[in-house]
Amino acid sequence: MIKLNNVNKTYFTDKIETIALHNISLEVETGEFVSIMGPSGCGKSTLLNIIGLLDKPNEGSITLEQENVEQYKEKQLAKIRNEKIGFIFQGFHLIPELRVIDNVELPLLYRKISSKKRRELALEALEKVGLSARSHHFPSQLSGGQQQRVAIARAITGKPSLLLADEPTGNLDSHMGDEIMQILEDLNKNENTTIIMVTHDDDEAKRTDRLIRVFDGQLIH
Amino acid sequence: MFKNYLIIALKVFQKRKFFTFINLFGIVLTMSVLVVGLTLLENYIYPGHAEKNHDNMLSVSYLRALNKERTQSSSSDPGYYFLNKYVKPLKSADKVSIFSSPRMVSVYLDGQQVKSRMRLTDADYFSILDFNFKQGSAYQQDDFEQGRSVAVINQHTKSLLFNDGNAIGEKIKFDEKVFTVVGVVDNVSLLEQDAYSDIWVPYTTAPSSSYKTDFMGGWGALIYVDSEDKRQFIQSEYINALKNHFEPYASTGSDTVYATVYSTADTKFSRLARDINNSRTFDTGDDQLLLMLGLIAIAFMLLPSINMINLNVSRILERSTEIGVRKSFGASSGHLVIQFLIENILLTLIGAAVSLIISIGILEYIEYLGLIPYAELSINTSVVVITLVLSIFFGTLSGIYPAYRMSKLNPVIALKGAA
Amino acid sequence: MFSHILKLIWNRKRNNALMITEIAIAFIVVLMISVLAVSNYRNYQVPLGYEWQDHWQISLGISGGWSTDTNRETLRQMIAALKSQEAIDSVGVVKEPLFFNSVWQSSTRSDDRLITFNANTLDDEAFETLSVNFLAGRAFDERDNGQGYRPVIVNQLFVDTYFSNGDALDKLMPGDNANGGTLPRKIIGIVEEFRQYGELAKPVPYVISRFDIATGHQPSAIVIKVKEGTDINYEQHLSTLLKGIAPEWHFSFVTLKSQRSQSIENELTPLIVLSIVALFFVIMVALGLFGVLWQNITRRTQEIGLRRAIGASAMSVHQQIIGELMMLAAFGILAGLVLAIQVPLLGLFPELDWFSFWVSFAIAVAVILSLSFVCALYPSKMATRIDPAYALHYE
Repeated sequence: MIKLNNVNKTYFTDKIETIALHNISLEVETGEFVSIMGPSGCGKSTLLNIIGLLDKPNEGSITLEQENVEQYKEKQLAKIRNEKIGFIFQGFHLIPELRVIDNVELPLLYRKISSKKRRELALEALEKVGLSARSHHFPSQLSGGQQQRVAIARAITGKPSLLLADEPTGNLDSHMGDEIMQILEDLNKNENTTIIMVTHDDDEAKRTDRLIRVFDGQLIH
Repeated sequence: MFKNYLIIALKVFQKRKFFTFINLFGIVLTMSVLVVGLTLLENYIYPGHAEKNHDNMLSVSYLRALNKERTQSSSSDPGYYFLNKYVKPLKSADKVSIFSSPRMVSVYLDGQQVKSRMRLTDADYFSILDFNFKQGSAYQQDDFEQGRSVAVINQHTKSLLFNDGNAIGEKIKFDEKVFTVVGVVDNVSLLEQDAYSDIWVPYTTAPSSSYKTDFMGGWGALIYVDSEDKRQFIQSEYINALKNHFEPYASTGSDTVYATVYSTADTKFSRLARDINNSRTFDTGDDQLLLMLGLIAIAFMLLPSINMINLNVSRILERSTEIGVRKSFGASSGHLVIQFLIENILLTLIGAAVSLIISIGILEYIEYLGLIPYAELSINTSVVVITLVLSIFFGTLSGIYPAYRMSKLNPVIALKGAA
Repeated sequence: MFSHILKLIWNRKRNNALMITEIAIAFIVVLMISVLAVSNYRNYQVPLGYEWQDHWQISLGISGGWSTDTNRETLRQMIAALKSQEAIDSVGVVKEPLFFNSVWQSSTRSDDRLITFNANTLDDEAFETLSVNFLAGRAFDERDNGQGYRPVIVNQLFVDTYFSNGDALDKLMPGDNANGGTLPRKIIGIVEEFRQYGELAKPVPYVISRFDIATGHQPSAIVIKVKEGTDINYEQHLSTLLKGIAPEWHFSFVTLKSQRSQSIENELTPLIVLSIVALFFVIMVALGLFGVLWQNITRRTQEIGLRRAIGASAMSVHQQIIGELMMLAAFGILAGLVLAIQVPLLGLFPELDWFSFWVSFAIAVAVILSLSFVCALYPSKMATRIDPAYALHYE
């Protein structure tokens, strides 16, 4: 599904250079549910951003579904993100000006789909997270857990094969966090969606197929 | 997609009312001035009253004459002699009217005195121009030939002299001569230069026929053709006649002999071009004027654009989460540029709509002040269309750079910023 | 402090370049309006040089060409007839009318110097009619008849411009062939001013020649001084009188008073329209600067909080924010000046003299700086209210 080969990432700020990732090689199979753990600042978010093609490594190659994206232009990367990857963030990042349904539709805007079809797909995704009744609310009218469920609906509405979740339960209490985990597990089992999740919670990590630990920009096996 | 952008745009406008207000202030100011300018220009180039058949008319209003050595030149409006000799006989013209420029006269009636502009014309003048007669009618060919002392006056003069009553058959006196009013017409704006006046009388009533020898100054001519296509033909026929068949003219009372003349049969636009460019040859410089008008409009939009660019650039980070999310879910930079441009253009369009309303007020105020005598300035469809096109251009000009900057925002940083 | 602000500005150069551009353009707009206002005001301060309060100007539409002897005789009769009127004190003839933009420019070569000036022709009595203020010499009279020179009267500006030692009376200038033969011109009088185009036109070197009915060029107007209290109805009487003498001519009457206000209105209307538009532009720029600053303060909460935390006083934060914008304004003014100064340097606008330019420059600088100050006031106040503890927690 996804393969990282000797990926290096260094940030340059003014005069200091910070090594964020060092020689990372990693392979995730289709249908796997992988969790990434590590102390803050260890580079796990950078790793997730690189897997999500939001950030480019300085060295090394990334292969996504047999496609080597090393030489891809911004526009091609955007297309891959749109079709193959869904993001879930710790801070939900819903667009406050848009209603729930419009938020969920967002990834479909960048495809050539009729507005009727978009609405259908978005409702379908909302159905899956159990929020179809709230489709015309604004994000601010929902609880944190509900907002994160909307964010998940947005991530899956485009039927991506890979979900990237950056501490999806980080801002939620344990009860709501559990709900979110349940939804992710169902997606993984029922739809065979590959999920890579950054987490701080050992219990959550245990519920996944595989745990990867990152420390000082390196993988620990 | 479009709808999504519009919703976001309107929400953003509402959320940050103060910034929307500042942006709108600049847009409305700029567009209002442009709309007023455009309306004046439009009313001049496409007059709607007496000169409404301007598409079938050409006007001769300029003459420059040089001596053989080209050391002496003189330019002004043409004289009767010149027009009668070179414009009147034009073969392809269907009608030609010769008339004087308006001059001030004092009209006396029952001890009251009114200052008015008076024009001497022939009878064809009223068949070429389409005056709207409120009372009576124009003087006829017969009146003209017999030199009858008859006058057409405009509504303004009529209400000054006769209040609301009937003016037909009444006598007015100016230049120590009594004229009978035969017609009352609607006021015609100064923008219709060949029609504009308060009083019109046949030039055969002039106390002497000495005007017939005037080569330069004081007169103009209108050429009427049945079809628009003939206009270009006439224009070249006229220039040819002046180039090849001009007979050297010795002006009275001076030893100058004019050997070369420049004059053209102008459309409304080319006449404006000549006035503004100060053109002195057969070329009135229409293209130059068009270019100049375009440059003025752009220069005028420059400061408001930079103002908007500044504001919008300072507000980029406000949108960082949205940009980050959109990029994560597959929006390319192009998508984002288009989104923010549409947002900006929407704002300039709203501003343009407000400007159109404000401009109506400004134009009414200009009419009220009488800055342009008798002008009735109205905004018509073509002004609205040009305004909308200009506002889209303005929106692009002021929006493209902030949109570019926004689209280049790094999604990783954008998302982290608001976490 | 100063270099610190400079550093901050430099590090944000991309956004600041935009601000500076905006201020520069706004500065040029303000400068343009001040130049117009200052030069008009300065022109207005210069004395007109003649009286207009009780004067009428009768424009002459002379039919059939001026040069015929009949016409000259007609004019002679008219002047006599007007003079005999009870209500008329004095009658003068002018070639170029007063308070009209009818310009006659002329030039001559003297000692290999090109002397250019605006010209007019007045008859002997016109000086008395208009109460022209003489500084030296006298008006035209019989003493100038049949002399070996052509008498001219010049204004003081002409003397200042072309006679370095200020001594011009009785000096000779070459004649010009087009006007009255080759006789040399002799300066017989110097007037304070004779501002034919009105009070708002730029004063120019001016030369008045003597109008002589027998040989002079076509005059455009007769100027009369009427007794106080003569009302407009008197016009009809004069019209009948003149038409009786010359039925083929046409006449239009105007009081110099109304002609003067008309000419002032014509000059001022475009200026007022421009000023209103410029005023709105300046308001727009002020709002824009205010908005950008406000936005920047919100964005820089952390930086400002840090400054407060390490011990910057509210006052110094206040000063810094205002100082930053003033510095940007200074750069903008400098950039605007570099562009604007090309106009007088290259002489693109001949009406503009250096004094007016620098006075206008000072006005524009004051306007832009105080504008920037006012715009920075509220945002800087906002900045001082930032709670360091909260600010550092932000993010």
